[in-house]
Amino acid sequence: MPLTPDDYATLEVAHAVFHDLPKQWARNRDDAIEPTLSEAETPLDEPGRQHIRAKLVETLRSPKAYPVTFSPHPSAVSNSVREYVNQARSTVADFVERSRLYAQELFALQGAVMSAGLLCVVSCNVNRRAALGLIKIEREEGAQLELSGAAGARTFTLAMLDNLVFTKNTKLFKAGLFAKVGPEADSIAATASDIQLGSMAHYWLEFLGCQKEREARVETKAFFEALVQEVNRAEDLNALEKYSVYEALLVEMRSRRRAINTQQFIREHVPAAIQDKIRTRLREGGVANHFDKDNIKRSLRRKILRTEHDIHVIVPQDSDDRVEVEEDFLTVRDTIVRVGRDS
Amino acid sequence: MIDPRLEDARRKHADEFELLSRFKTNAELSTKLALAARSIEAVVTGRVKTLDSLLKKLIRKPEHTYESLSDKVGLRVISNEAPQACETIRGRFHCVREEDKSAGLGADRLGYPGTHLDIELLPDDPEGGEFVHMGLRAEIQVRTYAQHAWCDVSHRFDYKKDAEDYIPQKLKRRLMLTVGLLEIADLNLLEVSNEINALPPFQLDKTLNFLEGLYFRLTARSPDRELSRITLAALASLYAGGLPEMQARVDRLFEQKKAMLRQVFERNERVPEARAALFFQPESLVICDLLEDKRDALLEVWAKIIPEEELYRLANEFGYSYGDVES
Repeated sequence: MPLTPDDYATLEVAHAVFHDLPKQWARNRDDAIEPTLSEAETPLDEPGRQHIRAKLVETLRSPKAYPVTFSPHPSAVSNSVREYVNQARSTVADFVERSRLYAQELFALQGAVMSAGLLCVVSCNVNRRAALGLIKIEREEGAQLELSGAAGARTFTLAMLDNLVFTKNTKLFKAGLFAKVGPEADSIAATASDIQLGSMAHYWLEFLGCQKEREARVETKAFFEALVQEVNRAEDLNALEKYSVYEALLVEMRSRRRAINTQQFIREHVPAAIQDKIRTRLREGGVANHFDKDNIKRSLRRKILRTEHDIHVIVPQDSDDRVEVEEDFLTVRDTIVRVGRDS
Repeated sequence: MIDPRLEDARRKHADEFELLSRFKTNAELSTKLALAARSIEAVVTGRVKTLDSLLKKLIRKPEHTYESLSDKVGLRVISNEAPQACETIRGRFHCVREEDKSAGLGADRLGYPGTHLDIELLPDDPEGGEFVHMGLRAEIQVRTYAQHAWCDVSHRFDYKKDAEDYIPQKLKRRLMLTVGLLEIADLNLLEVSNEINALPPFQLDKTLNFLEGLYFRLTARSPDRELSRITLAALASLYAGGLPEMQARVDRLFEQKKAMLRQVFERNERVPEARAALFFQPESLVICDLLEDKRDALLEVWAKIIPEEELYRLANEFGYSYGDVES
C-alpha cells in the first residue's frame, strides 16, 4: 500500500547520520579514495530535525517518487532495513552501525561516473511507527567536510552541513523511505525517488533492494484507461475538446520520452473543468504522478470506418468483433451509454 | 402510608446524584464545544433535578417512575440561532425524542417554551468517557432569548394558578399582548440576523469564527485575523458553494483527520517559529482540505495574494509537494 499525504504529514525525524561518499575516480589507482564514515549520529536540534523532515517530504512526494516493494532478490541494505523497521526497540549505536553499512554498500555500487555526495540515513517514525529514510544529497566538488568530535564518536555537525549541503538550492538526488504501517511483521510501505534522471537509476533501486510496486505496463495501462474513461464520461466537454485530449494522449504515448508526468499532462492538455476529476480518479486508481512508460500498442490501435455520408466509426481493436461491415450497411453490436451533440 | 414508587425514587436519587452530576458536566461541556465549533453563540447551563422537584413531578405524574423521567439531568441552551443549535445537538448526540413545544399551541394562542430534545450519548462519543454505555439520558431545552424571557415570567405564574381567577381581565390582556410582542421581536430578530449574516463580510467572519473554533482545539498560538479575512475571501472562490461549503468540508476534514492534524500542530509547536510562516493561521486547515484535490487551482489563487513559497512550505507540512512546479 503506497504511503499517503497523511502519512508524510506525520513523519517525524528522530536521529540522522551523514557519511561522505566522494567521487570514485578510478578503482585501480593506488591512491583510491575511501568514503568518510561518521562514527556517531549528527547532533540535531528541533529546527534541524524539521529541516531534514521537510527535505524528505519534498523529495518523496515529488512527481518523481515511486511506490516500491522489496525485491525478491534482497540486498544487504533491504535485509538490514527490514530488520530495523520491524524491531520493537532500537539503539542509536545500532542505527549508526547500520548506516555505515548502507554507506559502504552505496559507495561500492557507485561507478566512476557517479557524482560525489553525502548519504544521510534518518531514523524516523510515520504515524508513530518506526521508519527509516535514506537520502543521497548533492555535494559540491572540493567542498571541505571534516568529521569532528572525539575518537570513536566523530561525526558531521549540522552547522557545517547547513553551509555546505542544506542550502536553499540543494537538491536531494535520491531518496527512499521505509515505514512500518501495521503491527504485523513486514507490513512495510516504501517509496523511492530520483530527481536526477527521468526514470529511476537502476543502481539506486538495486542499492535499496527494491523494485517498483507496479510494472510500467500496468501503470501505463491504468493511466491510459482512467484518462480515456473520464474524458468519455465528461459532460462538460464538447467533442472537439475531447478529441484534443485524445490526440495529446496519443502523442504522449508515442513520444520518445521514457516517462510520463501525469500532473504535467493534466495541466497542459486536460480542460480545467475536469482536471480535478481526473486527478481524483488517478489517485483512487493508485496511478503514480510520474512513471516509466510502456507501449500499450493494442489500446492505441484503432480502426476508423468512414461512410459515404461522412459517418465515422472508431473501433478499438479489442472490440473489432462487435462491428460487421456489409456492402451497404454497417452493424455495431454494443450498448449506447451516451448520446451527445457537438456544440 | 409510604408510596413505594416515591420511596424507590428517593433512594435512587440519593445513590445516583453524584453520577448524574458528573454526567451533567460532561453533556454540558460537549454541548458547549459542539455549538462553539459551529460558531453558534449560546448560553448553556445544566442542572440535576433536585429531590423535592423530582418527587413533586412524580406526584403530579403518577404514570411515571424514577427510571422513566427523562429530565433528571437537564440542559438549557439559550440562543438566537435556536434552529441551528437544535441541528447541532441532533448531530452531536443520539436524539431519542424531540418535541416542539410551540407546535401544540395552535394559531390563536400565545406562549412558546421552545424545543425539548431527549438525548443519549453516541456509542463512539469521543468525549463520552465513563458514560458511553450507561444508557444515561438528558433533556436539552433549546430556546431563544425571547422565549426564555417568557418562560421566566410564566414560570412565576405557574405557582399561582389557584389565584388566576383573581387577575383582572385587563392585566391578563396586557400580559398576552406582551407575549405577542416577544414573539414578534423574536421573528424579526431572526430574520434580520439571517439577512445580516448573509452579507459577505459577516459570512466571512462567521466562517472565520468557525475555523478558529477548530484551530484553537489544536493550538493556542494567536493568529492574524486580518490576514485570515484576506486569505479566506480569496480561497472561497475555490468552493462551488462558497464559504458554507468551505465550512462543511473543513468540518468533515477535521473529524476525519483529527489525529494527523494534532501531530502536525504538535510538531510545529516545538519550534519557536514554524517553517511555514502562515502555518499558525486558521486557514491552514482550509489549505489542508484544498491540497487534496484542488492543488493547482489553489496555487493559482494563492499566488495572487501571497508568495508561492509560503504555500509550498505549508503543503510540505501536510505531506504534499509542489515539486513539479517549484523553481
